[in-house]
Amino acid sequence: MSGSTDHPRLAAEFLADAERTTWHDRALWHVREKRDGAAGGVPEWELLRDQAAAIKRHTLSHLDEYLAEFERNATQNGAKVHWARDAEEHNTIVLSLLRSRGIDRIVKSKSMLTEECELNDYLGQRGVRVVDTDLGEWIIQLADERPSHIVMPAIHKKKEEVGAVFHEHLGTEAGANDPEYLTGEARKRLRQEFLSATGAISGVNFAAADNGTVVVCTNEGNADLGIHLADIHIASMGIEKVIPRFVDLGVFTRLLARSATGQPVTTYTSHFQRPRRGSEFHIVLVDNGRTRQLSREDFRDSLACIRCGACMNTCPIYRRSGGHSYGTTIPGPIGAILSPGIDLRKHASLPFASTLCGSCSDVCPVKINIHEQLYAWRQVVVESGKSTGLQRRLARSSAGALSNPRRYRALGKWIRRLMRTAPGFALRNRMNVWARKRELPRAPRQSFNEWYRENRSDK
Amino acid sequence: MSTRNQILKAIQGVRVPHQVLPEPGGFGYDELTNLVDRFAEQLREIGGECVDVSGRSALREELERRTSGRSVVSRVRSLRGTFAEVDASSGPLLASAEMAVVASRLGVAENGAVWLTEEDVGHRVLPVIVESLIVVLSADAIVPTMHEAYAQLQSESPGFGQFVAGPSKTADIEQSLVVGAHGAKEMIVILTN
Repeated sequence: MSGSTDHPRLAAEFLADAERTTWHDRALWHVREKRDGAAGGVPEWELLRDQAAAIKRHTLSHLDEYLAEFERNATQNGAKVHWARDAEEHNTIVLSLLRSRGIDRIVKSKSMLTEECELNDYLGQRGVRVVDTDLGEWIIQLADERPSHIVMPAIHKKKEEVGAVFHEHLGTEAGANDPEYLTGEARKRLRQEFLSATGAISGVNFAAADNGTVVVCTNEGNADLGIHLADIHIASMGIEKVIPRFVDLGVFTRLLARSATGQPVTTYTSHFQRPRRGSEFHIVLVDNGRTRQLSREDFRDSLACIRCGACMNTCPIYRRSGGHSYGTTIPGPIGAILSPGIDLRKHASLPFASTLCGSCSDVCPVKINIHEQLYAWRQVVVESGKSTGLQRRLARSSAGALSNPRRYRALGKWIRRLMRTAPGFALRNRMNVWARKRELPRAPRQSFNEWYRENRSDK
Repeated sequence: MSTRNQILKAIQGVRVPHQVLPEPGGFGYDELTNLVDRFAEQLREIGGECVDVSGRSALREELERRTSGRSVVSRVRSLRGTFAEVDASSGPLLASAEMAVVASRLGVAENGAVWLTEEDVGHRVLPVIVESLIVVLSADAIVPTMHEAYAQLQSESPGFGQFVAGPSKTADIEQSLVVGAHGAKEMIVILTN
């Protein structure tokens, strides 16, 4: 991915297939509905959100202390803790751990952080074969694509397409599209990988500082199958994943799966403290722009994110443009407030890929004010001169019309006349971006102002 | 300066204003009735099976019935019978086991999960490598929510522990739920009284 992400252009490409867009939209909305059902079953849901939000905000206000405490306790448990300032250092550390043990094939469970660091490519180019074992991640790995959703990486793929990918790369039945059959084949093939891999990499959902516990949540059991059979477990962790106390997991494990998929809890919630006898446990703490985001008062709270994906499932823009239109590791509303901090020029269009409806903030289990941060990023984009030429021209002409009452009234009169006398032109001319795929309302004869003057004001 | 100190120094330099940490604690789930029903209901909803037995001989019969003729790793002493015992000394050897029988000391009513530690299962991979997982759980070891569960667990230090809620599953292919992804395809909890 090079150059600027042009979300409007990529979204238009996605939308060109209206039927597929509707399918994608419905699939994601269905997940939102499941989340609503699950949340509705917990009477204290809003209190839980308050608690989770407060725990995360507190943690961010003492992040250095909790990281140091976590390191101390994890080390005492027999884990080895490493620190990486950026993606490159993370990748170097991982490679060196594997190389020094002669490991050239590993299994990896879901980790958006390793995706962010482009670890698979890095290792692949240096002779280490990585197999992504989460089914959705494996599908897109075989298809040589990037994930389009952080929880359901292959949500953009229809089952026939998955069948085709499997047929091409695994030799499964041509034309197969039954999810049971395809999953069964994946189970068989990946079993072989689990049994032969000597290294396993995982992400970290939560890390408790007070006792050095690393928590990994999956539905498939792929993290456990990889890790418990490997000689080395490397857990890649963003520094914002630390939480103060083991008991705080009570709050987060009640919120995570319900927000993500509508399940009461993930099938497996695995707590790693000590390495298995005879094996090694390494934790890599990664900054990669997080301390910089921490320093931005308006955007600091985006670091509270627990990567549930609820914001994506509800966002009308995400649902109808797909994760790939964002050009980021993490798409959707949360991606749009994290990514501009990494590369403002490249991701300048993302804060504008929103109607500011606020649905994302509504469903966020840790109460990140996503829609407000989207708006704040817009100010940053414009003030640093990274808005587009069209945006600047539109803003200038709108400012001109809105700041002068006489000009505003005259313009309104002209537009209403045009809509009444030449509706076709008003609708279909190139300047009227708003009218694409929309009908125009019937133009009234008078503005409210004119009507009021005629009928209500004191003569 | 080491990366570690660079990162910590950078964080300190931001001087984020202090925010209060809330007290941990549940939400007043004092009612200890209906926990078994709720647990069973949740477990069934997530694709697991829940069976009630009363007394040791009933438990033994149930276990013998389910394990008969299968290749089994059992961590439960009351189980005897006609199953083929699998060498549990190494991970790869466990791959030939169809079934595991283990005992849990903690269940969670709100989500049908059971807690299994390394000590409970012997080899950490056991719950996810078999096709069928049978968990024996005492009915009075069920707590209302994860709050109570973690409060109970915080004084323990198991080295490794996991909540297992039902059989493994995935919906990664067009959102169609498939039970039996990489872990167990079948999960049965036998509640003892």
